Amino acid sequence: MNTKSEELLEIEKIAQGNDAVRKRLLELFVQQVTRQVSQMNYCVQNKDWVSLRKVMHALKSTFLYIRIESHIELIEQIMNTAGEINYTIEQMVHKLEMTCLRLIGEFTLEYEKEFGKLAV
Amino acid sequence: MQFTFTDKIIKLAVVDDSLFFRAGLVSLIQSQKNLNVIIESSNGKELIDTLAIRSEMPDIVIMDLEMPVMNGFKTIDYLLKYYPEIRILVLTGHNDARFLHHLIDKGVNGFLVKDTKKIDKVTEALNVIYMFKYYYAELDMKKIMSTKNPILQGEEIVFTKRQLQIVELVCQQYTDKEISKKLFISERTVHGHKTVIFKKTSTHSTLGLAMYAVKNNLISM
Repeated sequence: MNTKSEELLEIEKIAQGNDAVRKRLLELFVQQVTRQVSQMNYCVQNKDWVSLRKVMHALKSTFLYIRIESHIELIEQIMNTAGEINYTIEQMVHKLEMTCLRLIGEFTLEYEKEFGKLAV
Repeated sequence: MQFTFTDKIIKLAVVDDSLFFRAGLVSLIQSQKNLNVIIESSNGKELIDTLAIRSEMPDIVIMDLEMPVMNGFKTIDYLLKYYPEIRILVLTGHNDARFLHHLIDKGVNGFLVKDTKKIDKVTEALNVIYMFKYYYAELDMKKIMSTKNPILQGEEIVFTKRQLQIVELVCQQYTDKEISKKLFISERTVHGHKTVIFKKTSTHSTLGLAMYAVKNNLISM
């Protein structure tokens, strides 16, 4: 039985059986999204809504690519309401952060299982 | 899947600020025997700087629209003016019919939406654009052509100084509250100005207004 998440399967699909590309994509995803999670938390703490929207735009592109469609709407909601309803924003960002952390964990495990220690 | 109309190598430039997305896209493209990525850039300025010092030009540029430093709209204008022989395939997260209409009018050669279902179409689009110049197969042309092109209304739209200040701040993604503080006016007044601006520009969202402002040089980049 294949127990890989849909997102990991999507990475495999993009890599088309090329292990070097799969390695590079896993590495880039973990590095890029780890940085973006730190940035979005910093933005919320400092109420820097302009920068938060930029981080959301970058995340949206990544999420669209690996088809995490359930969260695209959430990202757009954050982009549209950041700075207006702070309490809701914090909840939405937290929900998004949880998904990012789950993916970072899964992708790191997958990487380290096959390619060794991943430097972030 | 190999999708080729020609044995000639099609030379490409990929312009996108997401390294992750670019890596996946370049890998997909390089798996095709007649496609070769000769330039990778993370924004329009990087592309233009690279083109200026290269002798070998790409046949087609694959372009994102929203990028830092120099966005896709500005870069497309520059390419159409100074490199008209280079064809342009826009790959975007946006699907706003009004702006697709505008870009088609300008002469952009093709569009695809950024997700893996459509990404599979990239190689097809590149081959079609190389051979036949245009690829609009994934677009709902009926919807696009029935939508007003906001840029080509045939009459000059005049903005007051205050309206231009608000457009600038909206494009910098400030909220109504933040704009009201910056300009020392009430949020209600900001809202009123925005309503008038949206009506004048026939736009309905901040993104739509931002695109309008960039296209019409209302804001500096």
